[in-house]
Amino acid sequence: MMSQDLKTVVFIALTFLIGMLLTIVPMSQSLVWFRPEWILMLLFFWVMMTPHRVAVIGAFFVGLLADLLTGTLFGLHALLFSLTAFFVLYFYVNIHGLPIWQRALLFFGILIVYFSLQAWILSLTGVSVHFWQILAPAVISAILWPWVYLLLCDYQQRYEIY
Amino acid sequence: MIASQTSPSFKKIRGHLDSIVLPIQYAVDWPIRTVHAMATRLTTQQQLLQDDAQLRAHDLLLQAKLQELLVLERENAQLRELLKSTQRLGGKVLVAQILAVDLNPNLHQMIIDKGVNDHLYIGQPVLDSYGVVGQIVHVGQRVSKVMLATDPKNAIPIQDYRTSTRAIAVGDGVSGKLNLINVPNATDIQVGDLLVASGLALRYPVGYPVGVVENVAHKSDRDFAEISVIPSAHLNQAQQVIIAWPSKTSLAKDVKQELKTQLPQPMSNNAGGVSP
Repeated sequence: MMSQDLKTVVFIALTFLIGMLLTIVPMSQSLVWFRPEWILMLLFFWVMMTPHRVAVIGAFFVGLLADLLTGTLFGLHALLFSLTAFFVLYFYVNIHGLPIWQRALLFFGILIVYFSLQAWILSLTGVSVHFWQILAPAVISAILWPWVYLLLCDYQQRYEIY
Repeated sequence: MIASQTSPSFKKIRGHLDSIVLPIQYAVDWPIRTVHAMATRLTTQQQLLQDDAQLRAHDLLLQAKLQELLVLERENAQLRELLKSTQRLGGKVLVAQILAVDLNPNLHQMIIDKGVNDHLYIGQPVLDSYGVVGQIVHVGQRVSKVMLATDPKNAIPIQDYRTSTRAIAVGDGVSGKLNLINVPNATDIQVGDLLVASGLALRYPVGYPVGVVENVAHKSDRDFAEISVIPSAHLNQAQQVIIAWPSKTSLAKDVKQELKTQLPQPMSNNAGGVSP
């Protein structure tokens, strides 16, 4: 049983590691505003599928790592990821009843709130943020979400991560 | 979050925490660098011969220019002797690699692979071969963060190369350009003027290029002209940057000495009724 626990944690951590690599891979200057929010996608998926493994606490620590990686204010991502995880857990039953396209729509809503809050906190600390550059990654992430979802579903079933 | 924004001791802890994610950053940086290295190794002979010819021609040209420069340099030194001012550049420089890692695009920062071990300090100027890149805002053990000149928090005291008009260039943030602030409408700054660091902040080396004026707008309802500047440094393409140690201490010493000798003079001038 212990080995199953360990295996699950390692496999989930591995996806987050890949997500973090994708978050800091350099992109050309024109595309830099269209980077999808990989870590949030992963978080949304794992909290939805394995809430007993990844919950608010897990989201918080993933968020701290994301802060260190992207150089933002320490705790910014941690707070926002924790809020997202809490939201998903609170409406866990309702979300599970939804078909995939409605989940994508819900995820888009979460992304808008997420990026707005991020922009608000960043602007409080004296960073100039433009609204349309918040919307671009939100749209890209929402478009990519169903594919990431199917990929992760396959991953989860193949390696029996529960 | 508030602690990280305000407390200086937290910034030190943050520096240590940053090394947690260093392996992830290097994991992204290393393959990209390897591919670059392989691409440079796999150039064809044709290409190399062509490059060689081109570089030889370039070298000849530069040699010719150097001859002129040698004379100019001596002349300049003599003039400076007359003006009793200090030499401009000098001091140590160091070449640093930029890690191939993207930070949050709102932040206008990048990471370089030198840190405390190489005696970097906060506020140190970062240049490339074309102009001023920015300054160091955070020094870690092995890596440091550079704030680009385009960050709205960054300001560079500049001087118009053509007219010697002084102003301050502040980053614009989103557009990747700089703006000159508090420049009166009547000031003679034109499109295409080269702006160089004036060295007034004792931070950037005197005379190092900062940018070229792209647009000058005079609006009748504003007191100041709106001037946008394209930075000279290749902020997006650079892989290496130069970190400079401007001889700050010697400059300050010279200024003090100069003031000491100069101070009594105006009084005697006034007494004699002669103005210089």
